Formats: sequence, structure tokens, C-alpha cells
Amino acid sequence: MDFTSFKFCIFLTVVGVAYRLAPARFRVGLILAASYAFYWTWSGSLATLMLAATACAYIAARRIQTAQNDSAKRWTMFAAVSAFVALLAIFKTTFLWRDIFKHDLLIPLGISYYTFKLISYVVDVYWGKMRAEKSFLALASYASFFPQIVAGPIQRSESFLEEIHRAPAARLPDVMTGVQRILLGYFKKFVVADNLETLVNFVYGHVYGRGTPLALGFYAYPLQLYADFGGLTDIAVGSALVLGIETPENFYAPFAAHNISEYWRRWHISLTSWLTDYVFTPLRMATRNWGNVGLIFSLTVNLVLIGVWHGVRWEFALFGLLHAFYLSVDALSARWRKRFYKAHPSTDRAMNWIGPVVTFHLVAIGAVFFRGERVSDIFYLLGHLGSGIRFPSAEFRGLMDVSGRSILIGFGGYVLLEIADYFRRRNRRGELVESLPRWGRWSVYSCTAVTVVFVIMLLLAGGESRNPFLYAIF
Amino acid sequence: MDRQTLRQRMNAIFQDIFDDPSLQVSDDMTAADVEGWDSLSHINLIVAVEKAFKIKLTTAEVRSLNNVGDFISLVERKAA
Repeated sequence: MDFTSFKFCIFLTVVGVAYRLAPARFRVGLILAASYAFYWTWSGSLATLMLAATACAYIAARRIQTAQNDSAKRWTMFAAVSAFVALLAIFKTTFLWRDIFKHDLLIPLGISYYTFKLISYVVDVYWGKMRAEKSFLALASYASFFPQIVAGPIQRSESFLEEIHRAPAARLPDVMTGVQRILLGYFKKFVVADNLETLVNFVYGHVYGRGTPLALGFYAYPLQLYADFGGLTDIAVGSALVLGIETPENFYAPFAAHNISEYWRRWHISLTSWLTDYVFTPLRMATRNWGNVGLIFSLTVNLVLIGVWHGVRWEFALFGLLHAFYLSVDALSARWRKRFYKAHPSTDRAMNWIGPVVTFHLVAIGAVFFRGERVSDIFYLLGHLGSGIRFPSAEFRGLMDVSGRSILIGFGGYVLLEIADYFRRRNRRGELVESLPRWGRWSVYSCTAVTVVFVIMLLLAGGESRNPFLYAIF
Repeated sequence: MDRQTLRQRMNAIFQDIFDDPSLQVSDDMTAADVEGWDSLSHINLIVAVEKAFKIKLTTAEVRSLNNVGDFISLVERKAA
């Protein structure tokens, strides 16, 4: 059941109404049943693997809490985390197993997301940040929560378990904001990402061309990726909010970042903060007396892991190495830059404008490594961005004749996306709309209702053949 | 060492790490209140405090801190 299907809209409505009507003590069970039903439509009996992993985390955390000595606690934590990492590694390297066993291995939906959640849960109990959960049902609903299982956001157990135990009924403004958020997600996916994809697919399918298309593809791909993944996140956050459950954000205007470290605090936030807490900080603590070598080493391990998590391929490893280089330069020059800007305030003001432009270009270069199909393609594309700008090939002119309009809609839609997000950030739980006079509120409600009807008609007309989300495969 | 002296010594370390001579720490201060306090400078801060007070902190101890007050209490306990 895809997030962009008519079936999902019906499913969410039914679960939302049932959740609202059910007494609070049945709500955990309802969320769990709905999440496993949703999971079943994707991965069938592989749901048992998720159940087994949850049971493993449940038992390990209880054991860590009751163990008498530190070494028993440490070994239990280590065994559980190793099992989760091994599980993830097996499914991330299926291409190796396919060759050995001559058999395709079906990748369970959301394996990354639920193992990350369970690892953080076990480690948090080990670190004494929280107590082991008593209710298995609550922990199982945390691991499998259907809005977050396709592609996150990776919520921490502490905040989710607290919410699910309270099981608040959604307020009307929450439901409204949730529905608007889902609609925004559909806009990002169908209007921006899918239209820009036409151009990006053409450019990366014809890399050995001349400048104009290469430069357009270079700029379009980061926007497509952001619209696609941002759209998926919006649908996830919105669906949870329809039930009254608040989910952490994944993005905060990433292309407005002034430097690369700020960019990583704004892009895929739930993953980067997870890695900071459970990989970078322990690694950096272990290497803290190595000086700058320890810093560069920890950054590199962290960023290469982010890269190969997307797929065990050279292109992703190079993506990680490139970003590790960016971040190392950023970290090592931070003190010097701060002093320089203090002494030269006019440069500081100029960097407010130049910073985001430079950062976007650094990110776009990284995105070529992310999207490129071969290492040779990547270096060709980066080396020929400025070549033959005035002489687009006949094929490219053909593409623009056929799809030029949809590509323009994609770029135009992107501008609307940023404006919509600007207001959305000020309306997290409906405050902005609530503060309007009655005619304003009702205008928003009726616009939302009309858009829902319109989108449902489009989903029905579109049938089942839709572009999958880029991030649903990680 | 009493808490007040400890706080003054830690304040000097904070000023040096965040390169801000006007910085004054308080118990309820968190990373969000200090410009430049991110995951990278956090470890520099830990290393500087470890050296100054000749103590060793573990990852679990570092991860359990919620604000500067927790940090001062932890150092107070370890350095005792």
C-alpha cells in the first residue's frame, strides 16, 4: 500500500476514525494492528522478522536494566546491537548473496528504520537515559509505526513511548494540519519531483552530451531529491498528526544553510542526529585524545557510513568521502573564520548571501556522486558542466519540445514549495490558521476540503502506476 | 573545591572553547543557548574539562547530560 494510493487514503481515514472513537487504553493495540496490517501489504510474512527484532530489543533492554553488574549490561547491549547491525548488513548487501545463492532476497520494508529505532532504544536504556519499556505492545508499535516505517523520520523511543502511552485524541486543528501536510507532500512529489525527474533522467541517461543539459541536470537533481524525500516526509508527519501523534522533522530549509555543517543539521535531520548520538559521539569520545586526526577520522567514518547506507557502491562511498572532506575543512577552519568575520564585519554580511550559494553548489557536486550511475559518468559530468552551453544537442531539443512544459512546471513548483514550507513551519500544529479571523479559517478549511476531493480524484484516475519515492528503497 | 570555584573554572574553559570572553554559564544553559556549541565543539569541551580537572568521562556520562548544571555536578562528583 503506497502512500500515494487511493487505498492509503481510505486506510488512514479508517484508522484515524477508529483511533478517535476507541477508548485510550485500546489505542496502542489499534496502532500496532494497523501498523502490522500496513506492513503486511508491503512485505507479507517478513513482518515476523520485525516482530522477532522487537522481541530481541525488549528482552535485551529488560536484562540491561535488571543486570547486577556493568559487564553483564555491556555484553547484553553489545550482543543486541551486533545482531541488529548484522541484520541490516545482510539486507544491505543482498547483491552479494544473490550471486552466491543464485536466489533473490526480498528486502523487508523499512528494515533500516526499525533497526535504527531499536538500536537507539537499547543503547538509551544502557546509557541510563531511559527505563526499559514494560509494555511489549508499546515497544512493538514504536518499531512498526506505519507513518514512519517507509522512510522515517527516525523518532526516538523516549518521545514516542511517552506519546503512545498518553494516546491523546487528535484535536481538530491537528487533523486539519495533518491533512494539509499530506497534501503538501503530494504536491512536492507529483508537481515538483516527478516533473523534474523527466529532465534529470534524461541528463543522467545521456551524460556524454554537451553543456546546457548537463548544467540543468546538475541544478535540477538536488531540487528533485529534496522535493521527493521532503514530500515523503510530509506524508509521514501528516499521517501521524491526523492521529494526534507528533513526529520529528527531517528537513529545515536545507538550501538556506550558510555552510556545510549547517546544511547537515538541516538535511535528513532524524538520521544525522541519530548517527551523531550513536556513531559519531562514541567514536569521537574514543579518539578524543588524537587531536585533529581523531576528528577527521570520526567524521570520515560517519559520512562514509551515511553514504554506503544508501547502497554498498563506490559512488555512495565517494559521496561520503567528499562530504567528510567538506566537513573536515569546515571544522578545522571554524575558529579562524569566526575571528576573521569578527574583524571584517562587511565580509560577514556578504557571506550571509554568498554562503548559501556556495553551500548549494558543494551539495550539488555531492549529489552528482549520489545520482551518477558510474564513477566515469560522474567525473565526465562534473568536468563538462560549462562546455558547449550555447549548442544543446538535437536530442535535448527534442526533450524540451515534448516535456519542456512539465520541466518548467517542476521548477516553478519548486518556488511554491519553498513558500509553502515557510508558512508551514509557522503553523506546526495549526496555530497560524487558528489565529485567523473566522472567514480566514473557513477559507483554509474549504480550500483543504476541495483539494482533498481533487487529489483523491487524481489518485483514482492515475491507477496504480506511479513513480516510487526515491527514499522508499533505503 | 566548592561548586562556585568549580563553576568559575569551567566558565573559563567555556569562554576559551567557544572563543567568547563574555560568555557566562548558568545551570539551565543548554547547547541551544551557546553559538557554536555543536557535536564537534562538545567533544573539545569534554577534552578540555578532562585535562583541567584530571578526570576521565565515559560516553554514557557525556550522553546523560541535559544542561550545564548536570555537567558541573558530574565534574564535581568525578573530581571529588
